[in-house]
Amino acid sequence: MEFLILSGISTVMLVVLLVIGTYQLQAAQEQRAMIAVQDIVSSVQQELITANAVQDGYRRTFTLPPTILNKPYTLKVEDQGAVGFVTLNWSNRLQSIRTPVCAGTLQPGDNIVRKENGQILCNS
Amino acid sequence: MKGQVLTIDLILGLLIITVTLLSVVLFLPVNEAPFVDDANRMLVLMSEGVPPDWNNTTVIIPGFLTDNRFNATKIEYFNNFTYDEQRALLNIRSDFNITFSQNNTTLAMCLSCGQQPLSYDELLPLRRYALMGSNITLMEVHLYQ
Repeated sequence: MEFLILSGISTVMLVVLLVIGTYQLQAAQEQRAMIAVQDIVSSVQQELITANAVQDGYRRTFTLPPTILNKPYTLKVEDQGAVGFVTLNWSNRLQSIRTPVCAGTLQPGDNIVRKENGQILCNS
Repeated sequence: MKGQVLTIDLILGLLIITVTLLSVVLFLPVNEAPFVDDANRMLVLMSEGVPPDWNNTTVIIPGFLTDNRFNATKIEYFNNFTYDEQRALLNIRSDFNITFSQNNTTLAMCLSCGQQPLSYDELLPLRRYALMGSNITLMEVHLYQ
């Protein structure tokens, strides 16, 4: 009888610890993902700022991670007049950042940025 | 009698292990990397920004300096954005507040730069000096979560 009681208590404690551990792990994963998202949009912004600052004829290939925590993501490039916006969509979470206007599209993996006639061209 | 002692020993042992494990799991230090990243990102404010003559329409990265001095016009432009827009411009996730002061007197500018912390778990102050006009001016940034 005592053995059963103690085993029961131990099992309950184990389950509680596992639940708390899983919750903590998920929070840490979430934090890692958001850091990755911020870093990716920031690196895109820096690439386009560099392209904007240099002369025509500039051409550079830069590589973005194919996935974030093994989940795919997409990048959307928008032109809103004086500035452009790059929006990263990962698991229905959006992160936008202002960039110089860029014609074309961006994607996970390799991207080619060029500058011709004063215009920044992304993969086009 | 022997069995009772063993039971008490076991219960005590289990309690000690549980309390220890719970303490480790619950009070593990929070990963401060995002907080530090945000602090580094805030330092762009001590630059001219992109483009260097940015305004509310053309801003890509906000910076408060022009010729190494605080530019009141740029600060006013930044002040005109909503709090969420300011955080998006700085690409940070932490909350923040910015104040400017000269000779320990807070200036009535940038009053909507960030928001006052009502409560927080962690607070990181950043202090940077630059001239505004001919006066030494302190910019204080408080990052908090």
